Amino acid sequence: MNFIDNILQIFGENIILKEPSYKIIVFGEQAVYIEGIKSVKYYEKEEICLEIKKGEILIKGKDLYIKKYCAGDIAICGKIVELKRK
Amino acid sequence: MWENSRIKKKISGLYYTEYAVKGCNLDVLIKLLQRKGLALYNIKKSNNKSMTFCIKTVENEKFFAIIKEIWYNKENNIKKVCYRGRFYFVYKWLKCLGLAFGIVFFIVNAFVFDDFLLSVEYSGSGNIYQKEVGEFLEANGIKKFSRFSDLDLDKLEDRILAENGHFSFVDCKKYGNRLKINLILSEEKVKTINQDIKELKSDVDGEIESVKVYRGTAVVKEGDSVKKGSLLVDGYMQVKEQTVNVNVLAYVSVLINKTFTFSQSKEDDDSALSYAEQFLSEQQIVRESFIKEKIDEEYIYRITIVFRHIIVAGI
Repeated sequence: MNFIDNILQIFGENIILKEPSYKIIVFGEQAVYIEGIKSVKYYEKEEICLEIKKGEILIKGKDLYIKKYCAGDIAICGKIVELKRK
Repeated sequence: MWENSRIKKKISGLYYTEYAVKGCNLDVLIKLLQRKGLALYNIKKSNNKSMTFCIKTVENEKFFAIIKEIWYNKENNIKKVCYRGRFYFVYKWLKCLGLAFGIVFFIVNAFVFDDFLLSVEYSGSGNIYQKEVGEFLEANGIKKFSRFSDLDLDKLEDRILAENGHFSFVDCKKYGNRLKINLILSEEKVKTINQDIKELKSDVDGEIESVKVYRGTAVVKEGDSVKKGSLLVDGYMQVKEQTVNVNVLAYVSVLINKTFTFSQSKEDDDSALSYAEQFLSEQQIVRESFIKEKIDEEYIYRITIVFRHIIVAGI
Protein backbone atom coordinates (compact mmCIF):
# COMPACT_ATOMS: atom_id res chain seq x y z
CA MET A 1 0.00 0.00 0.00
CA ASN A 2 1.50 3.34 -0.94
CA PHE A 3 1.77 6.37 1.31
CA ILE A 4 -1.35 8.22 0.17
CA ASP A 5 -3.47 5.07 0.44
CA ASN A 6 -2.22 4.71 4.02
CA ILE A 7 -3.34 8.25 4.78
CA LEU A 8 -6.72 7.63 3.19
CA GLN A 9 -7.19 4.50 5.23
CA ILE A 10 -6.41 6.35 8.48
CA PHE A 11 -8.37 9.51 7.87
CA GLY A 12 -11.04 8.24 5.49
CA GLU A 13 -11.49 10.11 2.23
CA ASN A 14 -14.71 11.93 1.52
CA ILE A 15 -14.44 12.57 -2.15
CA ILE A 16 -12.13 11.20 -4.75
CA LEU A 17 -12.18 12.58 -8.22
CA LYS A 18 -9.99 10.72 -10.63
CA GLU A 19 -9.27 11.78 -14.17
CA PRO A 20 -6.59 10.61 -16.58
CA SER A 21 -4.43 13.69 -16.06
CA TYR A 22 -5.15 14.55 -12.45
CA LYS A 23 -6.53 13.24 -9.18
CA ILE A 24 -8.26 15.12 -6.38
CA ILE A 25 -8.82 13.81 -2.88
CA VAL A 26 -10.79 15.92 -0.45
CA PHE A 27 -10.52 15.38 3.30
CA GLY A 28 -13.68 16.90 4.70
CA GLU A 29 -13.29 20.64 4.98
CA GLN A 30 -9.72 20.57 6.27
CA ALA A 31 -7.54 19.54 3.35
CA VAL A 32 -7.38 18.67 -0.29
CA TYR A 33 -4.70 16.75 -2.11
CA ILE A 34 -4.26 17.07 -5.86
CA GLU A 35 -1.93 15.16 -8.11
CA GLY A 36 -0.97 16.15 -11.66
CA ILE A 37 -1.02 19.94 -11.58
CA LYS A 38 1.09 22.01 -13.92
CA SER A 39 1.53 25.10 -11.76
CA VAL A 40 -0.04 27.40 -9.19
CA LYS A 41 -1.65 30.17 -11.17
CA TYR A 42 -2.22 32.35 -8.16
CA TYR A 43 -2.41 31.90 -4.43
CA GLU A 44 -4.40 33.98 -1.98
CA LYS A 45 -5.52 33.21 1.53
CA GLU A 46 -9.13 32.87 0.32
CA GLU A 47 -8.56 31.45 -3.13
CA ILE A 48 -6.05 29.24 -4.89
CA CYS A 49 -6.08 28.61 -8.62
CA LEU A 50 -4.20 25.64 -9.99
CA GLU A 51 -3.42 24.96 -13.64
CA ILE A 52 -3.94 21.40 -14.84
CA LYS A 53 -3.39 19.88 -18.27
CA LYS A 54 -6.78 20.86 -19.59
CA GLY A 55 -8.19 23.72 -17.56
CA GLU A 56 -7.92 24.97 -14.01
CA ILE A 57 -9.02 24.01 -10.51
CA LEU A 58 -10.26 26.71 -8.20
CA ILE A 59 -10.27 26.24 -4.45
CA LYS A 60 -12.03 28.75 -2.22
CA GLY A 61 -11.99 28.96 1.51
CA LYS A 62 -10.50 30.70 4.57
CA ASP A 63 -6.92 30.78 5.82
CA LEU A 64 -5.75 28.57 3.00
CA TYR A 65 -2.10 27.57 2.85
CA ILE A 66 -0.09 25.16 0.78
CA LYS A 67 1.19 22.39 2.98
CA LYS A 68 3.38 20.82 0.35
CA TYR A 69 4.01 21.55 -3.28
CA CYS A 70 6.40 19.27 -5.08
CA ALA A 71 6.71 17.67 -8.52
CA GLY A 72 3.14 18.26 -9.61
CA ASP A 73 1.55 17.23 -6.29
CA ILE A 74 0.03 19.74 -3.96
CA ALA A 75 -1.57 19.52 -0.53
CA ILE A 76 -3.73 22.46 0.54
CA CYS A 77 -4.93 22.93 4.10
CA GLY A 78 -7.32 25.37 5.71
CA LYS A 79 -11.09 25.79 5.79
CA ILE A 80 -12.19 24.68 2.33
CA VAL A 81 -15.54 26.01 1.23
CA GLU A 82 -15.64 25.34 -2.49
CA LEU A 83 -13.73 23.38 -5.08
CA LYS A 84 -14.52 23.55 -8.75
CA ARG A 85 -13.09 22.69 -12.07
CA LYS A 86 -12.93 25.45 -14.71
CA MET B 1 35.65 18.44 6.92
CA TRP B 2 32.29 18.80 8.65
CA GLU B 3 31.09 21.24 5.98
CA ASN B 4 31.55 18.69 3.22
CA SER B 5 30.73 15.58 5.19
CA ARG B 6 28.10 13.15 4.05
CA ILE B 7 26.54 13.06 7.48
CA LYS B 8 25.94 16.80 7.39
CA LYS B 9 24.33 16.53 3.97
CA LYS B 10 22.12 13.67 5.03
CA ILE B 11 20.92 15.42 8.16
CA SER B 12 20.45 18.69 6.25
CA GLY B 13 17.88 16.86 4.16
CA LEU B 14 15.89 15.99 7.25
CA TYR B 15 15.08 19.45 8.51
CA TYR B 16 13.87 22.66 6.93
CA THR B 17 14.72 26.32 6.64
CA GLU B 18 11.88 28.80 6.78
CA TYR B 19 12.13 31.98 4.73
CA ALA B 20 10.08 35.17 4.74
CA VAL B 21 9.80 36.81 1.35
CA LYS B 22 8.50 40.26 0.40
CA GLY B 23 7.67 41.28 -3.11
CA CYS B 24 4.99 41.80 -5.68
CA ASN B 25 5.33 38.67 -7.76
CA LEU B 26 5.18 36.00 -5.16
CA ASP B 27 3.15 33.66 -7.37
CA VAL B 28 5.84 33.93 -10.02
CA LEU B 29 8.39 32.96 -7.40
CA ILE B 30 6.40 29.85 -6.47
CA LYS B 31 6.18 28.82 -10.13
CA LEU B 32 9.85 29.46 -10.73
CA LEU B 33 10.99 27.46 -7.73
CA GLN B 34 8.72 24.60 -8.70
CA ARG B 35 9.96 24.61 -12.25
CA LYS B 36 13.53 24.39 -11.00
CA GLY B 37 12.64 21.33 -8.97
CA LEU B 38 12.50 22.72 -5.42
CA ALA B 39 9.94 21.20 -3.07
CA LEU B 40 8.11 23.86 -1.06
CA TYR B 41 6.41 23.37 2.29
CA ASN B 42 4.04 25.41 4.44
CA ILE B 43 3.54 28.22 1.96
CA LYS B 44 1.56 30.90 3.79
CA LYS B 45 0.69 34.40 2.72
CA SER B 46 0.20 36.98 5.43
CA ASN B 47 -0.77 39.65 2.89
CA ASN B 48 -0.40 40.31 -0.84
CA LYS B 49 3.22 41.25 -0.58
CA SER B 50 4.66 38.89 2.01
CA MET B 51 4.86 35.15 2.28
CA THR B 52 6.64 32.49 4.28
CA PHE B 53 7.62 29.03 3.13
CA CYS B 54 10.02 26.22 4.02
CA ILE B 55 12.48 24.31 1.92
CA LYS B 56 14.78 21.47 2.86
CA THR B 57 17.99 22.92 4.28
CA VAL B 58 20.06 20.83 1.90
CA GLU B 59 18.52 22.86 -0.96
CA ASN B 60 19.41 26.29 0.44
CA GLU B 61 22.27 26.80 -1.97
CA LYS B 62 20.09 25.85 -4.91
CA PHE B 63 17.38 28.25 -3.71
CA PHE B 64 19.74 31.21 -3.52
CA ALA B 65 21.23 30.37 -6.87
CA ILE B 66 17.75 30.47 -8.41
CA ILE B 67 16.58 33.72 -6.85
CA LYS B 68 19.87 35.41 -7.61
CA GLU B 69 18.71 35.59 -11.18
CA ILE B 70 15.47 37.42 -10.40
CA TRP B 71 15.96 39.25 -7.13
CA TYR B 72 18.27 42.15 -7.32
CA ASN B 73 17.69 43.32 -3.77
CA LYS B 74 17.43 40.05 -1.94
CA GLU B 75 18.91 41.26 1.34
CA ASN B 76 15.74 43.21 2.07
CA ASN B 77 13.29 40.90 0.37
CA ILE B 78 14.34 37.52 1.66
CA LYS B 79 15.02 36.72 5.27
CA LYS B 80 15.73 33.44 6.95
CA VAL B 81 13.24 33.04 9.77
CA CYS B 82 14.33 29.84 11.53
CA TYR B 83 15.04 26.17 11.15
CA ARG B 84 12.25 23.68 11.51
CA GLY B 85 12.03 19.95 11.97
CA ARG B 86 12.93 17.49 14.70
CA PHE B 87 16.28 16.62 13.13
CA TYR B 88 17.56 20.16 13.46
CA PHE B 89 18.25 19.42 17.11
CA VAL B 90 20.37 16.42 16.12
CA TYR B 91 22.25 18.47 13.53
CA LYS B 92 23.00 21.19 16.08
CA TRP B 93 24.52 18.70 18.50
CA LEU B 94 26.50 16.92 15.82
CA LYS B 95 27.99 20.25 14.82
CA CYS B 96 29.18 20.83 18.36
CA LEU B 97 30.20 17.24 18.88
CA GLY B 98 33.16 18.17 21.00
CA LEU B 99 31.03 20.32 23.28
CA ALA B 100 28.31 17.68 23.48
CA PHE B 101 30.84 15.01 24.30
CA GLY B 102 32.44 17.26 26.89
CA ILE B 103 29.10 17.90 28.61
CA VAL B 104 28.21 14.21 28.62
CA PHE B 105 31.65 13.28 29.90
CA PHE B 106 31.43 15.88 32.65
CA ILE B 107 28.01 14.67 33.80
CA VAL B 108 29.05 11.03 33.75
CA ASN B 109 32.28 11.84 35.53
CA ALA B 110 30.58 13.97 38.17
CA PHE B 111 27.82 11.52 38.98
CA VAL B 112 29.38 8.16 38.25
CA PHE B 113 33.17 8.18 38.22
CA ASP B 114 33.46 10.71 41.00
CA ASP B 115 31.87 8.13 43.25
CA PHE B 116 34.71 5.67 42.78
CA LEU B 117 37.61 5.56 45.17
CA LEU B 118 40.84 5.49 43.21
CA SER B 119 43.47 6.10 45.87
CA VAL B 120 44.01 6.56 49.59
CA GLU B 121 46.35 9.21 50.97
CA TYR B 122 47.65 9.34 54.51
CA SER B 123 48.86 12.34 56.41
CA GLY B 124 49.61 13.39 59.97
CA SER B 125 51.96 12.06 62.63
CA GLY B 126 50.28 8.67 62.49
CA ASN B 127 51.24 8.32 58.84
CA ILE B 128 53.81 5.68 59.79
CA TYR B 129 50.99 3.30 60.65
CA GLN B 130 49.54 3.56 57.18
CA LYS B 131 50.27 -0.10 56.54
CA GLU B 132 48.03 -1.17 59.43
CA VAL B 133 45.32 1.25 58.42
CA GLY B 134 45.56 0.05 54.82
CA GLU B 135 45.17 -3.56 55.95
CA PHE B 136 42.21 -2.56 58.08
CA LEU B 137 40.55 -0.86 55.11
CA GLU B 138 41.11 -3.89 52.88
CA ALA B 139 39.78 -6.26 55.51
CA ASN B 140 36.61 -4.13 55.60
CA GLY B 141 36.17 -4.11 51.83
CA ILE B 142 37.43 -0.58 51.24
CA LYS B 143 39.80 -0.68 48.31
CA LYS B 144 40.34 0.73 44.82
CA PHE B 145 37.08 1.17 42.89
CA SER B 146 34.94 0.97 46.03
CA ARG B 147 32.14 3.53 45.97
CA PHE B 148 32.11 6.54 48.25
CA SER B 149 28.33 6.37 48.36
CA ASP B 150 28.68 3.00 50.16
CA LEU B 151 31.00 4.48 52.79
CA ASP B 152 30.07 6.30 55.95
CA LEU B 153 33.20 8.35 56.56
CA ASP B 154 32.23 9.32 60.12
CA LYS B 155 31.79 5.68 61.11
CA LEU B 156 35.03 4.79 59.34
CA GLU B 157 36.89 7.33 61.46
CA ASP B 158 35.43 5.81 64.64
CA ARG B 159 36.31 2.30 63.55
CA ILE B 160 39.90 3.16 62.67
CA LEU B 161 40.24 4.85 66.03
CA ALA B 162 38.76 1.86 67.86
CA GLU B 163 40.75 -0.77 66.00
CA ASN B 164 44.12 0.96 66.14
CA GLY B 165 45.17 2.06 69.58
CA HIS B 166 47.99 4.22 68.26
CA PHE B 167 45.83 7.16 67.33
CA SER B 168 44.23 9.93 69.31
CA PHE B 169 42.48 11.44 66.29
CA VAL B 170 41.46 10.22 62.83
CA ASP B 171 39.92 12.30 60.06
CA CYS B 172 38.63 10.86 56.76
CA LYS B 173 37.71 13.13 53.87
CA LYS B 174 36.83 12.71 50.23
CA TYR B 175 38.80 14.80 47.74
CA GLY B 176 37.54 14.00 44.26
CA ASN B 177 38.37 10.35 43.79
CA ARG B 178 40.84 10.24 46.69
CA LEU B 179 40.25 9.29 50.29
CA LYS B 180 42.46 11.41 52.53
CA ILE B 181 43.03 10.00 56.00
CA ASN B 182 44.68 12.21 58.61
CA LEU B 183 46.13 10.18 61.48
CA ILE B 184 47.31 11.79 64.71
CA LEU B 185 49.35 9.66 67.06
CA SER B 186 48.53 9.17 70.69
CA GLU B 187 51.60 10.25 72.64
CA GLU B 188 51.48 7.31 75.11
CA LYS B 189 51.67 4.59 72.49
CA VAL B 190 54.94 5.59 70.91
CA LYS B 191 58.23 4.71 72.54
CA THR B 192 61.08 6.74 71.19
CA ILE B 193 63.98 4.70 72.44
CA ASN B 194 67.04 6.61 71.50
CA GLN B 195 67.58 10.25 72.20
CA ASP B 196 70.67 9.79 70.10
CA ILE B 197 68.99 9.59 66.74
CA LYS B 198 72.02 8.35 64.92
CA GLU B 199 70.96 4.76 65.54
CA LEU B 200 67.82 2.85 66.39
CA LYS B 201 68.32 -0.07 68.74
CA SER B 202 65.87 -2.61 70.05
CA ASP B 203 64.88 -2.47 73.69
CA VAL B 204 63.28 -5.93 73.68
CA ASP B 205 63.89 -9.47 72.52
CA GLY B 206 61.64 -10.51 69.72
CA GLU B 207 61.06 -11.11 66.04
CA ILE B 208 60.93 -8.33 63.46
CA GLU B 209 57.43 -7.96 62.02
CA SER B 210 58.05 -4.94 59.79
CA VAL B 211 60.65 -2.27 59.19
CA LYS B 212 59.89 1.09 57.64
CA VAL B 213 62.83 3.36 57.11
CA TYR B 214 62.36 6.92 55.93
CA ARG B 215 65.93 8.02 56.71
CA GLY B 216 68.81 5.71 57.48
CA THR B 217 69.66 2.15 56.54
CA ALA B 218 67.93 -0.92 57.98
CA VAL B 219 70.25 -3.65 59.23
CA VAL B 220 67.43 -6.09 60.01
CA LYS B 221 64.54 -7.36 57.97
CA GLU B 222 61.17 -9.01 58.47
CA GLY B 223 61.49 -12.33 60.25
CA ASP B 224 64.85 -11.63 61.90
CA SER B 225 65.27 -12.39 65.60
CA VAL B 226 66.66 -9.53 67.65
CA LYS B 227 67.92 -9.15 71.19
CA LYS B 228 67.71 -6.20 73.49
CA GLY B 229 70.33 -3.70 72.35
CA SER B 230 70.53 -5.00 68.77
CA LEU B 231 71.00 -2.38 66.12
CA LEU B 232 67.89 -2.06 63.94
CA VAL B 233 68.50 1.03 61.79
CA ASP B 234 71.81 2.78 61.27
CA GLY B 235 72.19 6.49 60.61
CA TYR B 236 73.79 6.54 57.20
CA MET B 237 72.59 6.51 53.61
CA GLN B 238 74.20 5.96 50.24
CA VAL B 239 73.66 9.03 48.08
CA LYS B 240 75.07 8.32 44.64
CA GLU B 241 78.59 7.17 45.48
CA GLN B 242 78.86 8.90 48.82
CA THR B 243 77.98 7.72 52.29
CA VAL B 244 76.08 10.41 54.15
CA ASN B 245 75.36 10.50 57.86
CA VAL B 246 71.73 11.19 58.63
CA ASN B 247 69.40 11.29 61.57
CA VAL B 248 67.36 8.16 61.72
CA LEU B 249 63.66 8.35 60.91
CA ALA B 250 62.23 4.86 61.10
CA TYR B 251 59.49 2.69 62.46
CA VAL B 252 60.09 -0.92 63.51
CA SER B 253 57.47 -3.37 64.69
CA VAL B 254 58.70 -6.26 66.85
CA LEU B 255 56.65 -9.29 67.88
CA ILE B 256 57.31 -10.46 71.42
CA ASN B 257 56.40 -13.85 72.89
CA LYS B 258 55.28 -14.00 76.48
CA THR B 259 54.32 -17.20 78.24
CA PHE B 260 52.22 -17.46 81.36
CA THR B 261 51.82 -20.63 83.42
CA PHE B 262 49.23 -20.92 86.11
CA SER B 263 46.72 -23.34 87.54
CA GLN B 264 43.09 -23.17 88.43
CA SER B 265 40.70 -25.59 89.97
CA LYS B 266 38.11 -25.52 87.18
CA GLU B 267 38.42 -26.02 83.47
CA ASP B 268 37.63 -22.61 82.03
CA ASP B 269 39.63 -21.63 78.96
CA ASP B 270 38.14 -18.15 78.60
CA SER B 271 38.86 -17.10 82.13
CA ALA B 272 42.40 -18.47 81.84
CA LEU B 273 43.02 -16.38 78.71
CA SER B 274 41.48 -13.28 80.28
CA TYR B 275 43.66 -13.71 83.31
CA ALA B 276 46.78 -13.79 81.11
CA GLU B 277 45.65 -10.87 78.94
CA GLN B 278 45.29 -8.53 81.92
CA PHE B 279 49.08 -8.51 82.29
CA LEU B 280 49.36 -7.15 78.76
CA SER B 281 46.35 -4.88 78.80
CA GLU B 282 48.27 -1.98 77.28
CA GLN B 283 49.86 -4.02 74.53
CA GLN B 284 48.55 -4.79 71.09
CA ILE B 285 47.94 -8.54 71.16
CA VAL B 286 48.48 -10.24 67.83
CA ARG B 287 47.64 -13.84 68.67
CA GLU B 288 47.35 -16.16 71.64
CA SER B 289 47.40 -19.91 72.25
CA PHE B 290 47.39 -22.24 75.22
CA ILE B 291 48.16 -25.78 76.34
CA LYS B 292 46.01 -27.28 79.04
CA GLU B 293 46.95 -30.17 81.33
CA LYS B 294 45.05 -31.77 84.20
CA ILE B 295 47.15 -32.87 87.14
CA ASP B 296 45.22 -34.27 90.12
CA GLU B 297 42.27 -31.89 90.50
CA GLU B 298 44.07 -28.88 89.10
CA TYR B 299 44.13 -27.56 85.52
CA ILE B 300 47.52 -26.27 84.47
CA TYR B 301 47.38 -23.63 81.70
CA ARG B 302 50.44 -22.64 79.72
CA ILE B 303 49.36 -19.57 77.74
CA THR B 304 51.52 -18.00 75.03
CA ILE B 305 50.68 -14.48 73.90
CA VAL B 306 52.34 -12.72 70.97
CA PHE B 307 52.06 -8.96 71.10
CA ARG B 308 53.37 -6.09 69.05
CA HIS B 309 55.95 -3.64 70.29
CA ILE B 310 56.66 -0.49 68.28
CA ILE B 311 60.04 1.18 68.21
CA VAL B 312 60.22 4.56 66.52
CA ALA B 313 62.99 7.03 65.98
CA GLY B 314 62.96 10.55 64.69
CA ILE B 315 59.42 11.62 65.58
